[in-house]
Amino acid sequence: MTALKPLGDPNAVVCEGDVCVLPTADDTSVETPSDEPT
Amino acid sequence: MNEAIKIDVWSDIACPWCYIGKRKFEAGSGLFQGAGDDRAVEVEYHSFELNPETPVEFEGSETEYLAQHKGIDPEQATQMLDRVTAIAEQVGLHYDFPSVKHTNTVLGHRLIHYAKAHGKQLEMKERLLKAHFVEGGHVGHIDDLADYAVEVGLDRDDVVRSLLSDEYLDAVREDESLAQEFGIGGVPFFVIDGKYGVSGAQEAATFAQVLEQVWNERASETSAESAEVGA
Repeated sequence: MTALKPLGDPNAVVCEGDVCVLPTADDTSVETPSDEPT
Repeated sequence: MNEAIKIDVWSDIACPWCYIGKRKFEAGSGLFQGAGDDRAVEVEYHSFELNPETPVEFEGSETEYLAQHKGIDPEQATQMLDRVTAIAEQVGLHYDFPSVKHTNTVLGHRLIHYAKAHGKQLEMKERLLKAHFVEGGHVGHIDDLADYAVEVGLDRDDVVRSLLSDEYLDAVREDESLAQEFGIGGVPFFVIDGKYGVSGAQEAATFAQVLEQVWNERASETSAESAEVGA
């Protein structure tokens, strides 16, 4: 396996397997405050 | 003139976070390039099939698919999709899950490879994602795919010929083996300069920060090399 140096937020959302890992209403890991207008 | 940072992106077409991640990456890349000093990026997309077993003609809605495969009730699946739809809205994407046609994406990936060979990869990738998530288009039928290809400036007859053959299937499989080699288990996944891995739909600011970090590391390496040569 080619080793890659990991960068960025390790908790960012991904799709894996036959369905995506989708957040539930109480999952706060996908809040995107930096995209909101300041 | 500095060399552009190469970003290889593994993603699927039927992947809501890939489209959201694409928008966030584009925003982050824009911030990075706006910082000047010839900062540039070169992006190439690679195939990743989340579920190669999906039939072309899937009977049922995205909600039903999600409920079946996650073993949850349809109401919970609807809530999940509503939440993703709200997140997509934040990056300007108007997802319409009730009209999504769940299908196999291998033909779409082959078309993206065809488009790459004709200088239209980025346009084709964007067109298929939009068709799938926003317009309720079918990205598993040759006729529909050929229509989208024409919209980005490709030749319909040649696209149909290509999709009716096995052309570019080896390119799809090669991308998938490379993903395995890198240990990529989820998408979107961004490989930067062949050395750094960024997983998932990161925030735009995070993408910008990562690109800046890679840019600065490159500059340090170049300075160190110049110092060695001069010594």
